[in-house]
Amino acid sequence: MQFNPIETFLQESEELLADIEQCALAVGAGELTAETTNQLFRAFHTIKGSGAMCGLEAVSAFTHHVESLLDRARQQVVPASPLLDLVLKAKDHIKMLLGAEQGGPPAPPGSSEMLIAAIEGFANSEPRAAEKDRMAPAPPVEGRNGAAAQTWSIRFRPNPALLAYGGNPIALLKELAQLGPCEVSAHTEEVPALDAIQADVCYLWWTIKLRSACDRNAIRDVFIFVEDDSTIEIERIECVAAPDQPGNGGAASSSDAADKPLPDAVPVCAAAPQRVLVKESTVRVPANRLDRLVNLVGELVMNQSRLTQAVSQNGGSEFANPVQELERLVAELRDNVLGIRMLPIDALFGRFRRLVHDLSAELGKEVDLVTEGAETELDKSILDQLGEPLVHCLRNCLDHAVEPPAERVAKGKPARATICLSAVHTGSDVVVSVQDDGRGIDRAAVRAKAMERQLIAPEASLSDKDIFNLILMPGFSTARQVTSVSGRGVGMDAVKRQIEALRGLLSLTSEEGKGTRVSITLPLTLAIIDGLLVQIGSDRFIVPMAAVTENVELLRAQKARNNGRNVIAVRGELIPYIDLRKAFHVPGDAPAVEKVVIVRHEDHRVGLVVDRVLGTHQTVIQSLGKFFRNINVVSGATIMGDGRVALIIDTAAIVRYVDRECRRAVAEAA
Amino acid sequence: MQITRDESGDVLKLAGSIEISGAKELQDSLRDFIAGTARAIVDLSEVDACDTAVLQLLYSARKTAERSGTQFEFARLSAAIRDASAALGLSLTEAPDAIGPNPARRGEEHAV
Repeated sequence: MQFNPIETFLQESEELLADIEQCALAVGAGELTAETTNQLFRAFHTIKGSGAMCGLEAVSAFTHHVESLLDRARQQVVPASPLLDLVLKAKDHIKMLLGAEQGGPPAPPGSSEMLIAAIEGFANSEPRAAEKDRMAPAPPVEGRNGAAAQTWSIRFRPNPALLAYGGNPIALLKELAQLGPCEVSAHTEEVPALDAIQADVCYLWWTIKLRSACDRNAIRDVFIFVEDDSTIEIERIECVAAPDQPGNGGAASSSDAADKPLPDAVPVCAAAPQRVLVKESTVRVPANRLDRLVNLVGELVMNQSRLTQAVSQNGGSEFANPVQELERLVAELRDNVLGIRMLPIDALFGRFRRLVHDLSAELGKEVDLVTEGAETELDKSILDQLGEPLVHCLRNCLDHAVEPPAERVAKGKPARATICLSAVHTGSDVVVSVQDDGRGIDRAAVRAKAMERQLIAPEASLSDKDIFNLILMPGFSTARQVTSVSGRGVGMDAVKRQIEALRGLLSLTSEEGKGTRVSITLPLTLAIIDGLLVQIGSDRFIVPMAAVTENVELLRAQKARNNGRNVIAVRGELIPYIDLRKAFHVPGDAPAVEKVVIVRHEDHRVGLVVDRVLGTHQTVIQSLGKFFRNINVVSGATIMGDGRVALIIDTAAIVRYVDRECRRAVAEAA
Repeated sequence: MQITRDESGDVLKLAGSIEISGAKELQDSLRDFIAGTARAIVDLSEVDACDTAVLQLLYSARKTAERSGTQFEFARLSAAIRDASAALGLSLTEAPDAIGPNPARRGEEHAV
């Protein structure tokens, strides 16, 4: 694949713009620290520099103005509070400019100029004293307005590939020397002899003592274009407000650190904050390559399973050990490849901060979004499809659940509502939940609406769970008015369907007046699962192992005793079961002793009756294709070791299917 | 970039702009040069421009020669070489008068 710098820039810009949004929202949440402002500055600075390098002049020129504004903010000479809106507007505008470069609609004529005028007007305004006080002191900003000179110790260990990428340490170190007198020491011990050296690899690294009145950010800005791949450590090692020592000024002096260690006589400033930046080396890989890799591993897993089966059937004891070893390696490879596709859910959560900020402003509500477990990882394909359902949940929360500030205060609640977005691992699942402290679900209103729509009989006795399930039915809404945000009742059933398509579960809990919690339980991955291989007649099926709790036997005599009621007693607990032979219309008679695979379904246990349980199976999930897309009770298929196909049972769907069929049969009988 | 060896075989002269694009050629030349002489002198008086990759290579050449017991010296460092090596904090110690005075330093001597 040919390297395309503009494409790379556009991808990087997307990440930088997301960072900008997070930082700006942090400013809005009252976290205006010098570090936040610096982060914003660096992100815009990178967009400006890289944009100019790629010839995207419109982006670069516009970003320059934002950068100037942020530089003023860094110097604390502009008021902080309205900064948020301007930065967000600027971010959106840059996104539009970048979108135009990718063939999207162009920015409206004059929009850049209008925004630049607003930015310049704001940049030239005067700060209020209180705003200055809000600026957190760390890290200290020195060097403005004639601050004292200090000594900085800088360790610069570039990525070895820096030279190959066109990086220029000479220019960097010269730029650094412009900040003040430098003592540059090159570390040459890793430079190999001529027969081993690779000319485009940078073996050198540097320690630099810089004496300057500049602040840490000015130093970091020198390394801004290499900091992602390099180790750059900046420490303040001296706090002396003295004029430069004789002989210390002028050009950089030099020495080979390998031969001459640095003089060590400079007193260390105990209070100096230190920030160590160790950047992890990363490689950007297109998602489709990763998908191809996962597919290949899937093929490998299937072939390995065929090989294992062939060896076990045809003897060949000399193959047993290598095949076992291959099995281990393939399993390890599978886990590692699937691990590459795992991404922290933070990327998704981050997007919602802006959504909550904008929506709460639109609705006149005060809301704090709290996120927990943002580091929890999920398969990329799940994350990609989880965004929309979560947006629905959050919009519902903000529109219906969260009360206006006055109403909250009247109820004795804080005026600001809190929405908690959390993710947590539970076994092989991840539970993502959206919890608010709003008004909760009005059970009476749900019941009344359900009766009005003839979904329930007036005398029906409903548990909380039944009532909450009504909300998840298509077109159900108790909202008195439809707003631009929600209320049409097309939300929650769509959310439920999407979650179930991801082999997940949606559940609701609510306490009136106190709040509602929407929990979404999702599998970690959709590509390869551990399955339980079962047989009915001559057909084989896979039951996802994550759902299986235990297997028990079912004797023909036991079935007869129950007079057609499909229940089995397991250690005193009556468990309903589904006869899959009947459900799937499998011809032939069931064996005298059948097996019941007991699976978890929502809060219950349900049995699935099969002829035999064959054992566990590493299941590579293959789509059934468009011809079979209407078959809801299976979530896919897998190819077995002997080349036969086994269908993967969607346990939740089969329970729903049988439930529906039973109700229909009862209704017809009545 | 020009790389020439004098008749004695002891002096390798680099001239023009020597940068990463010519580093492989320079690496081969330096390796052959060190292997074929007992006293290696690299004349840098006519180097107009250089970069980090080349200075690193020159440093490696000195290291290689010292390990093999070959005497190795840089002679007549041009202003470009001195400027770049100073910026990098890399000391390419110049052997004074190894092959005659350094034309790049002539002005400095007059100034003193």
